[in-house]
Amino acid sequence: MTSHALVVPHDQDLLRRLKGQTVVVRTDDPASVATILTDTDRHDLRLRGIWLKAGGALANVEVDESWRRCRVALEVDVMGSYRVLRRRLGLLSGLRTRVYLSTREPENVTNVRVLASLGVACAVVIEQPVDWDALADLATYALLGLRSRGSIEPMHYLARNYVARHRTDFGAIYFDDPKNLLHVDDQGRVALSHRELLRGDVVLQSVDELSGLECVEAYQERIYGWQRHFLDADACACCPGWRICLGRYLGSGSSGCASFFEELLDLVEQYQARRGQGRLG
Amino acid sequence: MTTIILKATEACNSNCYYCDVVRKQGSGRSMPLEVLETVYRRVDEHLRSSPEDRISLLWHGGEPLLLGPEYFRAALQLQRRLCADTQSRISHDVQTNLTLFDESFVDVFRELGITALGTSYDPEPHMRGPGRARDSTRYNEGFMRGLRVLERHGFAWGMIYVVTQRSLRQPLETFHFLTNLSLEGAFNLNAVLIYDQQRKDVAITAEQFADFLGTLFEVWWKHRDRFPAVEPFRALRESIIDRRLSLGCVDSGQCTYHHVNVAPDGSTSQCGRAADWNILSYGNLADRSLTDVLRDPEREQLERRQQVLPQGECAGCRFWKLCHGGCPLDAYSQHRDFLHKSEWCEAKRGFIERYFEPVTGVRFDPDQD
Repeated sequence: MTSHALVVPHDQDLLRRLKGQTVVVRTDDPASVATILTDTDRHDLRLRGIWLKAGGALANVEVDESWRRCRVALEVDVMGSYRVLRRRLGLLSGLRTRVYLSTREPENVTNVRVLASLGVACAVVIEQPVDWDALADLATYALLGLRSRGSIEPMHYLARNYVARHRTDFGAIYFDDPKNLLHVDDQGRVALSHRELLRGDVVLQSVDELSGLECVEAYQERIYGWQRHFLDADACACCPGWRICLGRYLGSGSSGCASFFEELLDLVEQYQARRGQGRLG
Repeated sequence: MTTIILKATEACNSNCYYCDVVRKQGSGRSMPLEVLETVYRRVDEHLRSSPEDRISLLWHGGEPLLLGPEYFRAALQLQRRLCADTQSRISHDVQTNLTLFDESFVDVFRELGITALGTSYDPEPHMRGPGRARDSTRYNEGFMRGLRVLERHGFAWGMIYVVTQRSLRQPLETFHFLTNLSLEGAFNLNAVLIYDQQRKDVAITAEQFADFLGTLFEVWWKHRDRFPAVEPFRALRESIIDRRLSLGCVDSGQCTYHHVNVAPDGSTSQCGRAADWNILSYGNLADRSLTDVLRDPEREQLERRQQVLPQGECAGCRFWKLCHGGCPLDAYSQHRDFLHKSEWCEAKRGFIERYFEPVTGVRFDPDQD
């Protein structure tokens, strides 16, 4: 048993081995949500959520009442037809489902705003290419707008969790949080991130070895990976926004991330100050 | 509160460019346990005779962690044995470069009541580090390892950043580097103090220091809740705006009877620099009580300075209450005499007049309560 939650595929044999464990089940089939709920119950697992990489258009995803029973992180490529989606909005906004849209599609930043204004919780997956100015506008809308709506991540995560004296890592929004989340393949091998799992870059050969994780050098290096920026004295080390991004976009060919995170940090502090003064709805 | 700067060792595993301790004390002496025992006996004796006083023991060096955890365990045993009735009035601080800090120190530091460590860092390559080349990579990696242990065990920490000529190239980048590394901004910005010609390349003037602080201050003031503990900004804010005087030993004018430096052989002096320069020496604790050391007549010249300066060099200065002429050792380094103000007064005055007051919109009025 580990204090980490495990992100696992929907694999019966694996689920059976993990009895009592906290899991996030990964799937690409929207129709499997109900089965996952049944299977995790049967194997006595604590289901933290379902990571549903559906792809395609949100409008085409068949959402049903069974989703009410758990959190669903729903990754799609685009929003799709609003006319079609409109019929499901009532249900979608009442679920514990967060819709993930990537900046790879330029219109997604606008669509996140549309969905959030309709009460749907959203997350922006920040990956190249990124229009940082559009993202900054979205952050302003998310944190300083006055109308009630769905949350927008990672902005609201930071607004909820940022404490000046601590480094704030919003990686948990994207299941990239090795302090708390580990990724497991159908063989039971363990990696520190989903990307590494896909590359076969595992730190443990079996979930049975989880108790020894603290002694794994690669794990320690990842936990203290923030120090590398200071040892290398790279651009992130002296970035005013570092304390909320922790150098996440260094080497991604990104430019503009520094001013975005500097602005986002200001917004987060304004949000917290206003909340402290009771001026947020 | 009496501060004992305990130079338990003059040995150091780093060769920092601007440090005088290793340069002057090449022998790398360490304090034998018999001398440490004498220190504790004197501390107990003093606390018994001064029931209102407290002792802050600052473990200094050199690098005090070179002594190893066993030495600190021995200190703890000595304290328990020799100061059984007075140890509640003894507190400990450590000034370390962190490169040797590991799990073996954790328990004994906790038992000594140490909850925070003082350290120092310099992002500039080859300013801090071991060997002639000052291998800053090795220093920095050791520092980060120490930091991991600190964080894992919940110790707080603060650091000193020494402002040199090289700091002036990119002041804001340096500031953000330091506030990212120490998120609360728990660090002191200290001007480098250079007394020889060989290292003049890193020396800065009082005016340069004022301008360096001024460049940072605007950013700090805007985000002062984000990194509140940057010094000297926090202290000046408290002193000028909150009207709560918050002054360190350099500015308080009160070091006269409350500071003592103890060298590895038990000899005492006013502070570390006084020991380096063989001035303000008050004898050895083997021969004199701590109380006598703290009342040594030679200290009167420091007290006299507090009467002379307001009538002389500092007459009419509206910042007297904020600096009291600055550190007497600074004055000595320039004039071979304590009865002058420090040349760094101009840094403080320049910073307050040109930056602090215009940015905050608050003018320091010495007569306002």
